[in-house]
Amino acid sequence: MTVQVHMYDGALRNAILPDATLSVSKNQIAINSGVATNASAVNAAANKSDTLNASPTHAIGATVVFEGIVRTDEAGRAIRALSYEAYEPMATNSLTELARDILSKHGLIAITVEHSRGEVAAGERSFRLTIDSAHRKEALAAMDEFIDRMKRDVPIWKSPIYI
Amino acid sequence: MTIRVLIFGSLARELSCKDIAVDVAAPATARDVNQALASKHPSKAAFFQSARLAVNHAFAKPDAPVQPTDEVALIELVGGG
Repeated sequence: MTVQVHMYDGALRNAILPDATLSVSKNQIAINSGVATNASAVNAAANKSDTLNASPTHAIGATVVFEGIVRTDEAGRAIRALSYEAYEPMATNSLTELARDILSKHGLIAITVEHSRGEVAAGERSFRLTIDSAHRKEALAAMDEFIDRMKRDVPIWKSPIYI
Repeated sequence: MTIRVLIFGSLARELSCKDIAVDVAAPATARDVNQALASKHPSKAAFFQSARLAVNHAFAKPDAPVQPTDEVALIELVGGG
């Protein structure tokens, strides 16, 4: 079982490529190593990785990915970007604790959390949650619960930057 | 003694500051800090009385002790994602 939490300065890059995920699986490397494709963000990241146990990837039957994208308006008013403020190290620690709890509760194989801090332009990605599990149902339930609890308990704030 | 409470997000913008200093009698608890915040900002008293505080980067229960050397932060109105 694997938990990874990454905080990046600015927008997230594109999602993990399917062929990257496939190559990871073939090589029996801990799943979600594909986040390393987000290379340009890594150098600026305060990044925390917590590997509980390397998992055999053949156990994975479902991978669910959610991406949060900055909308072009906030409450009907056009925005240029959102500015994310994280209270560290509590934000990263809270995300890690939350991921561990969700992983255990739903019997998942891996969770990878990627979150932006600082300014993210409208149309760009600010959040990505990747969940690997044996079956679809637990991954979908875990996804919903993780996001609800993150929005309630993790000290990250966003402020609109209006046009 | 004086406790400095860090604030963030829309609350920090609204109050045009990054922290609020409150005076509480020693020994103090998180509940005392909440009450002092409410007294200092009566227009937001209900909000401050129930707002969650973190002490040294962990959520604090109302009866948790608070010292002037602690890092205290108000964790409300969060909105990650």
